[in-house]
Amino acid sequence: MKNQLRVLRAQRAWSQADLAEKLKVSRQTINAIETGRYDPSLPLAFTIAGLFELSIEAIFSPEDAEAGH
Amino acid sequence: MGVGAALLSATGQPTPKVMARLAELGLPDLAARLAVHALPVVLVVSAVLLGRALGKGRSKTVRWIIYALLGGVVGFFTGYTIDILVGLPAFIQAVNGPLAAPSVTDIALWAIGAMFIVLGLMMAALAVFGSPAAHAIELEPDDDPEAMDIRKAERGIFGLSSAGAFATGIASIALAIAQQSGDGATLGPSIIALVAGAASVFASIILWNLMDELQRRQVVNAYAVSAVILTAGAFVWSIAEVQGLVPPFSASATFVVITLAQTIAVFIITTAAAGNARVKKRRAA
Repeated sequence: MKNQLRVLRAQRAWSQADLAEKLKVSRQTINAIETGRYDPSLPLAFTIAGLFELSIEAIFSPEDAEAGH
Repeated sequence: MGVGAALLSATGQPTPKVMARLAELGLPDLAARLAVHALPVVLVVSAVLLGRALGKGRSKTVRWIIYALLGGVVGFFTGYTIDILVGLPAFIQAVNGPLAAPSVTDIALWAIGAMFIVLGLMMAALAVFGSPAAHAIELEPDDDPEAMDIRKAERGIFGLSSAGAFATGIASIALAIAQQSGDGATLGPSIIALVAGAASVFASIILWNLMDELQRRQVVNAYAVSAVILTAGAFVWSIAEVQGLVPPFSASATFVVITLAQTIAVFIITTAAAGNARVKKRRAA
């Protein structure tokens, strides 16, 4: 999965640790999601979407989304 | 490790044989004592600094080969210097009574105990000092300051991990002492092993409740990998045992193998994940 987490976080001038505190997860988890190493669970994806007031699809998309698959 | 070596060095006493040898080399008594006590710390700290300097700008494979070579050399000499500072076994024998010569399992229990106590010290340093300790401990500190940022909540988890590691270390060493103790002297170390083991399990349960979903997944993955390896290993050992090629496996040897396999699996899975993150970040840059 690709995601816009780093961009959205930078727009709000939040550090990874700031976002981790808001989502009640570890900073390593934020880092892992941003680098595409870890896909969050559905409950965490909903919490992230709720925090940024966006839909899940606006933040997360499949790797092959641009290829039109 | 430097702190661990310092503690061992500070609590130990050089044997008369070593002191006599150093006197033969012309070293005054005070200088010889200082040299023997300082050597373990100097070795560990200089190996870390040398590893970082030699590994700078080289590929990951070359860097880790350098670390492994330095670790092997320093590990041997640190083990040797700790061996000559035989303060701890003498203290234990004074309190608990004479100890029998250790079996292979006992040596493994002592080694695992020492490893967990060193791990506990490292995590205690992270809990107390936070990011500066992370920079000191990491062989390859991340360029990204955010990646080395350790906040208050994380320090709490490191503190609890430290307590769990200490408890596991004490339980392993107490089990070794119980096995080496003579008849009638096994109860004391057995009770210490049980209490420390219970504390370790209790710390693990609290830690599990504090972990987030990624951390839990890493632990589950590591335990799943180690379970597959251990099951295959137990099966092969069973066949070899039936054929009379290997001795039967004791419960304490099983504890050693399971603990070691799980610890190595957790270490490999968490460090491999961290390595992947760094590679992806560099590619993105």
